[in-house]
Amino acid sequence: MNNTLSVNGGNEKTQFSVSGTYFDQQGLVNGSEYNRYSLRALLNHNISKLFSLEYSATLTQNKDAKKNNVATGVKGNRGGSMLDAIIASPPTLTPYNTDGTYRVLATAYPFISNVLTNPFNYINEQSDLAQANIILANAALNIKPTPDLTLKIYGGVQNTEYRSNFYQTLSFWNSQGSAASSASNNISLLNENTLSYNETFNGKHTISALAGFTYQDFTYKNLSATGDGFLSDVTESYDLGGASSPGIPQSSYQKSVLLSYIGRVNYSFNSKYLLTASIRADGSSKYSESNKWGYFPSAAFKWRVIEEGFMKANPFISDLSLRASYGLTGSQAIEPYATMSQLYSGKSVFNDALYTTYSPSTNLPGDLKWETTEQINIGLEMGIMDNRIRLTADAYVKNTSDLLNSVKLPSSLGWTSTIKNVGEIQNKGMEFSVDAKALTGDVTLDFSANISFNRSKVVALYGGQDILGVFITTNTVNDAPNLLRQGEPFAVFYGYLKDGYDANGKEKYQDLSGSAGTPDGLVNQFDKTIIGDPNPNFIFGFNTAMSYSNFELSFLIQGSQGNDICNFSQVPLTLDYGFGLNKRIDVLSNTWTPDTTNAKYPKASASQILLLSDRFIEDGSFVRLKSIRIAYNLPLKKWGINWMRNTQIYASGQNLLTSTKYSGWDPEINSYGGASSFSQGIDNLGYPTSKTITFGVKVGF
Amino acid sequence: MKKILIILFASFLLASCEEMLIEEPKSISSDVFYNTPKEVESALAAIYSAVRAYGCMGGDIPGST
Repeated sequence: MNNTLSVNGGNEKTQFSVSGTYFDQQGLVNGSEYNRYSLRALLNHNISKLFSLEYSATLTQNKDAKKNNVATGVKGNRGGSMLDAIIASPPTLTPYNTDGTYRVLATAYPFISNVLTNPFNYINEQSDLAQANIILANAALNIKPTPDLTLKIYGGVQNTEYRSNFYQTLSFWNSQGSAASSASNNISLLNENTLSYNETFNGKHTISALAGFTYQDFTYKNLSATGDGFLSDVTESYDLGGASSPGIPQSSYQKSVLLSYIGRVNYSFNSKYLLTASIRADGSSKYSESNKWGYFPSAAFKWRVIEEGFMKANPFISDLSLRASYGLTGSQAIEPYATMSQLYSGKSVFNDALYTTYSPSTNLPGDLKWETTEQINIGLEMGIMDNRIRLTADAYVKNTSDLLNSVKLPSSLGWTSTIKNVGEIQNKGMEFSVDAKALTGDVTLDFSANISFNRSKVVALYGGQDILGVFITTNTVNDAPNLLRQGEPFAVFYGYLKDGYDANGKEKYQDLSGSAGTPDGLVNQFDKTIIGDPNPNFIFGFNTAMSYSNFELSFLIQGSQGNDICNFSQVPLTLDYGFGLNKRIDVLSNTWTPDTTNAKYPKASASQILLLSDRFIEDGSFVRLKSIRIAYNLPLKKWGINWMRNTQIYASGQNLLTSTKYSGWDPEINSYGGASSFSQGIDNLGYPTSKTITFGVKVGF
Repeated sequence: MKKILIILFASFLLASCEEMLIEEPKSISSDVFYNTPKEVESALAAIYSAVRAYGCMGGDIPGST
């Protein structure tokens, strides 16, 4: 459900706008729900010719009721998490005993998994509520001593109060009642001071310049406490003092500061040649003493070819521009204190007494500097037939150097990982889009289409050493699928090539090499090779909107072509044969037997150990009807209704149709992905995107 | 007026800000710790937490959790 109400008003001196939104969405699992309230106010006031004031404030409250933290996808094995238990529970058992109590699945059969938890335990006997109150407020004072000079002093605050409450009842299997509560506060202060200047000379030369200084800090404070063993479920996590074994409370503090000096000049000649040059110096507290400052210049040039005399006579082309730009940007995507050697507290037990411990973390602090991306871009914009058709084309090369990432260390060193500026990655690609107003008049039809090609390459790595992504542990296969290697695309999949089955139905692997560089009859890490690539050849989208009399129809199609997915979800679904865990039905007739030696799955064995091979790599290409919307505008004028401006009834759907060869739940999965993650394209029981259908009414007064 | 504003603005720019970029975590630095017997004992106790961890040195040491 989504409701919005907004009111705007004001006069010449003062304008305001107030709006409120309520959004509510039910999750796929019973009891999971998300809702959000927000209130927003904007105010502009011209105090005098010299001074003007802008103020805006947004208050938001989010409530997220989760089930077994399913939104982030907890990966349990053999029924130890809700999603895994839903797959693994034997279809031969009912969820409840005849007296209405939950059936204990872990002891239902002598051979069954001892962590298999009744899925209804997770759904009904755990509550996990996260609530955030967010205040975003900012004010700006503009001072205009002359018409072409503006000083803007801007101050903003973003305050997020986050609270989470978890409780597991006495009815949950093997539970004495377990509660956890945590509260944290994120506060960010922002101050920007900019001076800008605009001037036009001789009616042809326009110059605008801006110089400024900004300060932003981020402070995080947290407090959490837990307790186990309750006499009653009534208090949930709101009376931790009632716990028979209270946990040790935790608290923490983090702060980082970002300072920037910025300067920018825009120059335009006759609206024909446009030139922008800028430089910024960013200082971040997160980096090492001598490397706190990064300097990021950029320049862009645009030639509006259409303004040239020789284009005027062309009736076909209505707009034409060429663009070129070059720039550096910096990233500080690391946690504060990564360069400092700090001690962390803990507890250890001797003779029934608790002793406090202080030790370094498992992450070795290192010398760090800004990750920098250099980007070169050229582009073309074109409009034809009075801009009814618009085309854009762009080509770019991006070089990211001093890439920041965590590197594994041998644990004999005392630390297991460190963050380093590990290397250099190049991305280059092309993007094309077309927008067209195909039909205007009684029937209107607009469409737009875009396609992007990107090629990535790892140019250099620290010491030429390979870097592995996240290490995934399951009962059947344990490995790190992603690899960064010099000369290869970003985050390729790395593993063995399968080679049929041996005489006992165990999977065999190709012996590609050995310690001496030639096949040695052994299958070990020397036989690993690149087995897949999570990067698509291209991604595309198609968007269309049409209308006829009072009806409107629009839809969006999106797709990706040529990317691989490393499907770890196969382990619980089709490959882990121990402990009577339920499997997909095609396992039943497709395992190895002496008669069917080329079966899809190896011999059904309780001790199934596989190596990460091309068996796990699947084509993740897809085409998806991302959204569709049908609407009808009520003919209010015809009915003589004047008190409403417009009323629209609509139905819309998300993710209704998908075409893919991928065997998992959802090809758009990326269990460990994130913009800066090296662990791309893995599906490890990720929570799938949902199909939704919405009916609604939109009213304007 | 214009001059005053420019001077005001410049003073913003010139304000010493290097100090703001020095990190001050509210945790103990290893450079200044482990000097007294009590502090060294806390390091020794920390070793026991690691040794007792499940699977340490490939074994399941009695008393481990």
